[in-house]
Amino acid sequence: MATQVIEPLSARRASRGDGVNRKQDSATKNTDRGGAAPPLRLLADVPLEEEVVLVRIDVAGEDVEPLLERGIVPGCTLCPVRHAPAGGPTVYRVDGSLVALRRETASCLCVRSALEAAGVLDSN
Amino acid sequence: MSAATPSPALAAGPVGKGAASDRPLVALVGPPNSGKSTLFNNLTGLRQRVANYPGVTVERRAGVVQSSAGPVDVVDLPGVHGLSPRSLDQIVTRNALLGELEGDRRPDAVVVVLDVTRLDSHLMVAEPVLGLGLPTLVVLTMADELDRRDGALRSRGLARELGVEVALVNARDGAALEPVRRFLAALHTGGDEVRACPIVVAADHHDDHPSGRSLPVVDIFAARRKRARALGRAAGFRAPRPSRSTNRLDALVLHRFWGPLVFAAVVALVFQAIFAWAEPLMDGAEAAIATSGEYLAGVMAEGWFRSLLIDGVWAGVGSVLVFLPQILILFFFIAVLEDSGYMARAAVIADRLMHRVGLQGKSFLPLLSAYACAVPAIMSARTVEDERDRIATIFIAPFMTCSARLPVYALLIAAFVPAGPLLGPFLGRQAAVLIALYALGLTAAIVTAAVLKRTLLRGRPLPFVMELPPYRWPSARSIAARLLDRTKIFLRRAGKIILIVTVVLWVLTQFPKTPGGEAPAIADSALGRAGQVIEPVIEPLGFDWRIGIGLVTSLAAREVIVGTLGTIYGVETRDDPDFELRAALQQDLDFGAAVALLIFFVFALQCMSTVAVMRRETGGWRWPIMQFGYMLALAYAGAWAANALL
Ligand SMILES: Nc1nc2c(ncn2[C@@H]2O[C@H](COP(=O)(O)OP(=O)(O)OP(=O)(O)O)[C@@H](O)[C@H]2O)c(=O)[nH]1
Ligand SMILES: [Mg+2]
Repeated sequence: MATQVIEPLSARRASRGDGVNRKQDSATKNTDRGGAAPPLRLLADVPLEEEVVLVRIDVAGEDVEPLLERGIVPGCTLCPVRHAPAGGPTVYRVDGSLVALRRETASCLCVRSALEAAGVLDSN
Repeated sequence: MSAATPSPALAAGPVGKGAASDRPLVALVGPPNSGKSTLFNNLTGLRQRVANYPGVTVERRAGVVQSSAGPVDVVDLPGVHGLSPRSLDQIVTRNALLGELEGDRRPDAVVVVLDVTRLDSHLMVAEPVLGLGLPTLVVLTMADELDRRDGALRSRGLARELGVEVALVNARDGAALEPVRRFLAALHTGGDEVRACPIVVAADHHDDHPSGRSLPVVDIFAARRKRARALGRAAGFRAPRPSRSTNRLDALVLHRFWGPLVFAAVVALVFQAIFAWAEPLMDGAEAAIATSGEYLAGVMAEGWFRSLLIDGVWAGVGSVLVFLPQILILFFFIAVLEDSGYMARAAVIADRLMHRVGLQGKSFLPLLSAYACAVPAIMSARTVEDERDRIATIFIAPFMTCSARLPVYALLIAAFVPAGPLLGPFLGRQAAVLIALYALGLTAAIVTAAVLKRTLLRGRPLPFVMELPPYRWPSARSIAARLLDRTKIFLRRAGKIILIVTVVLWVLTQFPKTPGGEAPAIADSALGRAGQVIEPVIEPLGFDWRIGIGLVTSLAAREVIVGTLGTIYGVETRDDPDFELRAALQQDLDFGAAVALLIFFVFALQCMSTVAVMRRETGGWRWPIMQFGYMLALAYAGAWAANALL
């Protein structure tokens, strides 16, 4: 039942994301790190209720600190719980507590599915 | 480095009970919304504001706790995520901890307050504080929630790992605070509870150290997170499962269809209550004031003193006092919404709009609190990290309808809008007009912010990160305390500013005496003549000199206009014992002028405390003067248009 809602939403978000992401392209986005690791995704593209692990934060300079301070640190688990009305922020469960992020911010967070990550990030 | 010496010596030892500076000084530190102010209130018996969203406390507040071994100074501080100075409230805490706050010493010890349900991330951000090397007690709050949601922790284990005392408590429950009192007492006796945490924070992850940024900040935090988790694991920490009730409520409140509807219903309920629920209370208050006035008038001898008391004070102060029930109802709702956790959700719902305007979602919380009063709202703008956004937030805060406007609105609405249903039983006509006035203020705020953010205060948007605390039952005690405080503030203002103004006004109505030694007709009195000097300026708005005097006195505070009009009409109708302000206004103002007056009050910055706090928070006169002029111009133009069109 949930997937019915998610399909059209993520499709719509993907098309809308274009303009927002452009400034990010010059940054390190999507450069692969090591061949063996599964491909990274953007948090903004993760469907509701899928648990992922944060791998990298592509936010420049000081702007990264507000995220880190609220527990959004590489290695943390993130799970989109719900979208706010009218294209507002999305609420994520971050290691058990709730944090709302805008789509632009979620598009700067590179994640990997929690199941895949269990193998890769075992050392953590 | 000093962490290496666990030094009870720092605890100042047993000291005399004389000067305040002799007492040990203890700071409450921790991440936002962890329960510091709740703990502080329970320890000191003071009433610091508590609410269920991050960033409530923005100032240092001190209190004294009587421990079994003597008094201890305890200070409540704004919540911080570490010691990096990024917003003004965090700078307050940082400076207080480092003893750099002017006129303040460095604390002798810290009580680090962490929310146990979020132990990992709170330990992570607390590491720099633990590493300060001060004697430390770690208080883990929300023990009740940890239990309820099947989490677990061995606090002894954590104490062993950290090397300091750890207390797992419910900060709302005063009885559970024994360990904290013991720690405070030990500061006097030098007991062995008083130890510094042996964590040594090396320069490379002391994010306060300018030259110490050898590691990128992301790596610093990742390393801290690892250490925090290791600590939790060693202490048998089992994270609580997500709160089911919060999940269910959020499903409704943040639902794409029901969410906005719930929001609208909440707003309608609040305003409907302000009129419907308050009515019996107000009638009662009105009757009490009228009866006591008549009684006094009956027993007192005719003379100037009776006139001062009845026509001046009773009519003036009394006409403001009757609005206390409405204000309390407003504050009741604000308290419930803030304590429950709904405000943080409202900020999320409003983020889209805020983003369009160019402001951060974070600005929304100070703006919401401006519905109570602009002064604390302007101060809570300290939580806004970007300086330009902070100024923009401060600038538009006075457009939000503060509770001091309520008496003015309620008086004019009751006089000029007939009661009756608009949307069945859900919304009456008077409540709807009140909502419209609030909406007008909000619109002005939004448009102003949009213009400012595109011109004077242009800047780059920061990422929006909003923590959503779980919903919590508002505690009856804290709501009662807030209503009591509000009543005191209201009565104090009525007893000071309004009393003084009404007495001065009454005196001005008594001179110059007529040749027969009588008080003059009010239009010929000193007050009347002064009013007539102002009259040409406000005539285009449809106001006569009485309103003009009211506009001038309301510069002190908005509700003063109600007291002023009460006194003016009270003196004018001194032969009529059944004087009613509402009826007098109906006679004197036509509908267009009444709307003009309402609009004037929506826009104008009639509040000296706001101007003063603006000056302090922006560090100069530039912004307050701009704001005052801008709002006055808007008020004048709006009122003129309303009067001309209607
Ligand atoms: N259930 C429960 N609720 C608590 C406890 N301690 C605090 N609260 C609630 O948590 C919320 C935040 O409490 P505050 O005391 O305002 O938190 P604070 O640390 O002062 O927050 P800031 O001033 O924003 O830094 C309020 O709703 C409190 O009622 C506790 O031990 N158990
Ligand atoms: Mg507080």
